[in-house]
Amino acid sequence: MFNRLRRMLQKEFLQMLRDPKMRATVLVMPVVQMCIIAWALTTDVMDIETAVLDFDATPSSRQVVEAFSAGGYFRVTGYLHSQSDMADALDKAAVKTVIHIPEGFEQNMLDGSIGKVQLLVDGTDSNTAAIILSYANGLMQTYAARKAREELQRIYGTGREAVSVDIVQRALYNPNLESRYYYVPGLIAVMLIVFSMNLTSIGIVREKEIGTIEQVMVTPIRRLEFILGKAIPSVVTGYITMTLMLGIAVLVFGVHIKGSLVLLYVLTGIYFLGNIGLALYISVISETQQQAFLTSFLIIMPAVQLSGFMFPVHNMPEPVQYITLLNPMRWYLEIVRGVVMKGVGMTTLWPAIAGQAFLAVLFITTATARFKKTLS
Amino acid sequence: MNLRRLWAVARKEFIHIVRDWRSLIMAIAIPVILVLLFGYALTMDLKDVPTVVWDQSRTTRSRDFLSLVQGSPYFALKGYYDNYRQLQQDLDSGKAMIAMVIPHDFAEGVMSGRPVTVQVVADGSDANTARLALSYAVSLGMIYSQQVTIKQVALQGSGSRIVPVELVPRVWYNADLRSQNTIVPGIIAVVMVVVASMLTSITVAKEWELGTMEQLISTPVRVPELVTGKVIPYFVIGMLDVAVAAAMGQWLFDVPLRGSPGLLFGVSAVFLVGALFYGMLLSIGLKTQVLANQAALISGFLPALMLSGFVFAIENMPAVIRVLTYIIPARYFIALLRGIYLKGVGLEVMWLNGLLLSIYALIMVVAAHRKLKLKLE
Amino acid sequence: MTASDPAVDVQGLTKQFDELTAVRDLNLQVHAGEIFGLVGPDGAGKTTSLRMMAGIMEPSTGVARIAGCDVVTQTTRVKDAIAYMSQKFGLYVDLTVEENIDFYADLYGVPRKGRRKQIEKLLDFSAMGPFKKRRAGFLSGGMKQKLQLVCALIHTPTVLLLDEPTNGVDPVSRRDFWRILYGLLGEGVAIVVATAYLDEAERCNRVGLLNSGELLVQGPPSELKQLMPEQILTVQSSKPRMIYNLVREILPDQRNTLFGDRVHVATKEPKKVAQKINDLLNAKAVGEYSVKMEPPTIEDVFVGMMADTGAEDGGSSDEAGPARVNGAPSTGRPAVQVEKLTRSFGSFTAVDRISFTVPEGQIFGFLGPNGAGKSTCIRMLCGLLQPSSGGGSVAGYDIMTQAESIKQNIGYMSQKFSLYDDLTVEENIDFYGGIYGLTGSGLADRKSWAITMSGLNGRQRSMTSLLSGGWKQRLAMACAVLHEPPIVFLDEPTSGADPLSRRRFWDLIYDMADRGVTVFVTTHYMEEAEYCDRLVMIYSGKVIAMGTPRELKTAVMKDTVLHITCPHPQDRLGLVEQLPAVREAALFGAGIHAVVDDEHAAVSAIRNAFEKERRRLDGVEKIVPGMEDVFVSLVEAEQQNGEAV
Repeated sequence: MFNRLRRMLQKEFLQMLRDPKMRATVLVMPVVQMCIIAWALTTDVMDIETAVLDFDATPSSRQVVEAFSAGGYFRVTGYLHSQSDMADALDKAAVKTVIHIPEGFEQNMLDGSIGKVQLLVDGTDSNTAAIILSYANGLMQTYAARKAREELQRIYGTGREAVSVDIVQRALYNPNLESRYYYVPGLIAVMLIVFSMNLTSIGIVREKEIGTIEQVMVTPIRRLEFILGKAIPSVVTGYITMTLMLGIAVLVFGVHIKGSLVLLYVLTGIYFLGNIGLALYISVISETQQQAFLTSFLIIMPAVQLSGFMFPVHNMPEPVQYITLLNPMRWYLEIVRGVVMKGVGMTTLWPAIAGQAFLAVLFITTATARFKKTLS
Repeated sequence: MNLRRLWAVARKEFIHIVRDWRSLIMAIAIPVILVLLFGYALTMDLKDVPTVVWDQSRTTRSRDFLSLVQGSPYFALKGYYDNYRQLQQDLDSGKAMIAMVIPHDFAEGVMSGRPVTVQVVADGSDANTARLALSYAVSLGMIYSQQVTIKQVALQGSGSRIVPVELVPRVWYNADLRSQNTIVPGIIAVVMVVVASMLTSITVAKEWELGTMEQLISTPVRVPELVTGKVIPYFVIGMLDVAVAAAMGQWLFDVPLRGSPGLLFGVSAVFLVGALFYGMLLSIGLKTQVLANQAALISGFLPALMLSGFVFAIENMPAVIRVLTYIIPARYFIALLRGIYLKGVGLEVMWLNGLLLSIYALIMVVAAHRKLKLKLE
Repeated sequence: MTASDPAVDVQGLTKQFDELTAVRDLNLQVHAGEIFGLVGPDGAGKTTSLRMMAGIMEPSTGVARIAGCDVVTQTTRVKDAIAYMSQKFGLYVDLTVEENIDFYADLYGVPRKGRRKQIEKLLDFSAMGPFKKRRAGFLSGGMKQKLQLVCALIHTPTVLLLDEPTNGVDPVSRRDFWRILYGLLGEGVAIVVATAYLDEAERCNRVGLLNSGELLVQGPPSELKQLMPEQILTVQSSKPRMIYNLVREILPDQRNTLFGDRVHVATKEPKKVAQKINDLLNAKAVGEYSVKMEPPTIEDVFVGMMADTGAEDGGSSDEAGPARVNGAPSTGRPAVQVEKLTRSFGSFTAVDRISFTVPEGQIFGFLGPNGAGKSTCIRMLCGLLQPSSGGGSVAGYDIMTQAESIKQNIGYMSQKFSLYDDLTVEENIDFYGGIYGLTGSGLADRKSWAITMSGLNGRQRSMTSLLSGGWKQRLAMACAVLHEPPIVFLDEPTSGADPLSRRRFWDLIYDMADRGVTVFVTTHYMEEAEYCDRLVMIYSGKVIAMGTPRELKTAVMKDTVLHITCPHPQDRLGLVEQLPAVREAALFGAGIHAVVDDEHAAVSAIRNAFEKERRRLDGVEKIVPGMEDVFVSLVEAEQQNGEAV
């Protein structure tokens, strides 16, 4: 048994790693991609390009504009002069927002009615727009509170404080709210599935297409030996790329691994087995490499999207949330974020671990069961 | 170029596709699934963030505050505890993302006008959600204070001049800030990169691998006939995919198409040509199906998903990466799509994007032709 | 280009791959209406030469002109002028026969008008008509070859380049094939054909012998034969291998070679040697035999030249073991036994109620035209394919239920290439040895055996993809029997191998049989069928004949066969065919075989016909039919039955 498996492994490693192009694809590409993409993964909205259309031109209107630019998020890049300028600027995507202060803003406030500030936001990117709106609301509320306090003091004189419920905010695990820390561990999970799934999924179907499978089928090799022979090299290369990517995450992106590294490695192994089991199952049922590629893509795509990597699972419709239970990557993300960012261990992660282990066993056994040593 | 030979190659390729019905179905199903997924299931909109509370005050006042929290669309109260340990546990396990602690002197403070402090702890691992949730929490605090103040001032007979300014936000192009409106046009680009370059990346490599190339290149077939002939069927599938995606956006997700449909299909065709010939180039250069397909996946799918501005806005990226995104054609395409869909503008505004996209397509066409040698090594 | 210019003009053509010189300084001319045969051992550079002529491979130095156009600078015009058929199957498996043909017709710019007629003609010629709608992937190996030729011939080229076109093609189809080629010659096409069948080389106008990339000799077959200093004595008998071994013992200095049921002894003193052989065989009482002096064949020349150049590397002929008695003693238990074995694919019955028994230690030959169901049957026996009905056992295990146990006890060499192209020779052996459970010194021993057996000494570290077709074949066979299984299934093991390595294959097969191994083998080389202990011939999935080679040649084949020796037999074939006294006629080696009812009437009719046309006739004689005659007449009889029904 071990002799056969050993030979099988030897052959697989030789085939995978002899070709320099393949070596680069397996070992170098993930690292390069990681370096580039990890920088891009940020939803931290900064330096929002803002234009001002101030028809009022009073101290109060200038105060409002100052309040915006002082907050640190908005950067005023220009002043407009007409409504049509405004449309133009937004159409060309020259700015993201326009602060529009109508004539009579200050006068309205002095008259005892309400001064209105209009904020125009480019909504083509709804997420960025939502963030901009929340910043702007916060800023205006602070400004309004200041004005209210001044007003109260004017009426009642000093000594009378306005009611204030202060919110003391604290962000656990990621005090500076750097979104990159959140996405980088997730990106490792994405890269691992993208790189292992496709390459593994052709393992068996390629031998079918070339014709070598027929010769292997008449040998006494056991089905599980064959499947393991195909799976183990993927696990090994997976660990190598994972180690490289983790190194980059720590050294380049300053991700701090709070939990146990050993635990992370062990649990990553289960993740690999799940993915690879699924990939081999695809390979067993496909007739051509093209089918295997497309099928694995059909799996990779939803697996990435329904994992919570970019889109939080709790935002999804309820039925979809149940579907995500079948997604090894969803469980793995919970694990990798838990271990890396929160430093939690087995006691907290056991449901994720159980879910993942179940899927790994399920996929590997299905693949083995479907792999027949006969032609049809 | 001999049209009959071109057509012969195209027809042969068509037969390959039709015979391999599983692949054909997938080539159509992948876009549909992608659009459905993004349209229905995936959203970054903040709502119903799972929240747990430790109300130390347990008074009408504190319950007023909590009902304000519960009433906002952003928070969903999932549990009430009376110690920090349980709060921490829920945050650790991811059951809750926000924990609120209302101090025991909350009611007295509010009544006497003394500032009170509500503690809000967020799970910062998801920085995006945490930041939004925290800023909404701060807003809620202010709103609550103002409500109380207004009531008190009103009791003393004063006017409503307490809130002198108001922000009137108006979101252009996407008034309700629907994610779908942003996502659906973008997904067309992702779908096309994937389907187009993944499908064509196999075609030439497969002929080398299976040995059919040797026989083929001994015939009078010329490079342009072979390359273009092979692309034609995939172009048809690609345009079909665009039509399906656009139709789903139109009727399933009500994404407004404000610009010209003709322009939409026009720029899609240009982009598709680029993506298809890019796949061909990979196939010709790498000569094995695995490598070509893997290359198409990692150089097509991942950048189109993550570096094109589809989900992660390009303006937020570091300068170096922003420069890098200029070599990703999906970037121009997505900008064009969003322009056409949401802004209703045309090439008069976005001519540069259109030009760069065409240049990219042209480079790919030329490169694929030059790379293919009808010789054995 | 004028009419007298050669259609193919190759001067100083050389191809260098890294360290290996595949073709060195090749010079040859082929004129319109001429057919040039390229022969040589595996890896001699035949394929590389043809690829360069076809303009699909860049020569390192030298010039090749096709119809006056340079293959490097005027590639497109060259491609308009040629048709090329690659050695590897190069058509699309998911396209039907018709779609493949149409595709190539379009590429060659064959006008749509009148195309149907041409296609029908070619399909008829190749007997592929009924399979028009079948996908190429579901055709048998030989039919694929024919289809590929049809695709290449869909236009009428100036030059036709064929790379081992008849590998794996059955004798009946091979005859059809050559008939097509002769038809083209008449239309003025120049043909260059690389072939592993030396009887085909006999039919070429000129032959070039390529070895290690160099053209050793070229000329008409008759001239080449004169290069041979020795004369050939043939000893025909029903126990050729035994005689071969005996002769080698007493005449170790003479080169003797097995050719089907004959032993060829090349000697400079024919009389003396004939006497010696007669004395020996009488003393040993080997039964009926005849000793004759015969003109050498191209194969004799080939074998002789290769022996001279020392190309016979590490052959196992010196270790062939003791003389083997036909029908080795068996332990009584059959190695393979099948009863009404049937396999259907949908409505198509590939194997139809076949029954036979193979005793242990026998060499069992499985013959039949392409697509008769041979491979399907073997796959069922190996446990690769579940039979639809019927049953049987292999090595005592039931083929319906104990497939895995069977796999422990057999070796199998599939028709498809079964090695990993991206592993080296040694790594392939290590892999198969390992999964068959060989370790340590056992593996090392078998590895060195396998490398010697396949003649790959010194190339252990070569990538398998770089080996020529014949070498791959040898390596595949070595890998299939690494674990020394008691039963071996070989599906066309010698297809595409050169004559010398084919002999080595058979030495090995005998060697295994001597050690009690049962060998189950299919082949399209009819002289190889003579080496089998017993033969089964199948047609359309049914057994049509069974017995020892001798039984088949005498009991089954009742017709009289005449061998006609004359110059340019291909041009005389029509003359013989139209005689009423002749039932059938076909090219056979350097002559014509005619099947007749009345020997004397036919002989005089043939002589008269030749005289009337003033053609030279070197001889007509009745012969003991060869296996090929048997095969062809049985298959043609079945075809006629089929048509009658």
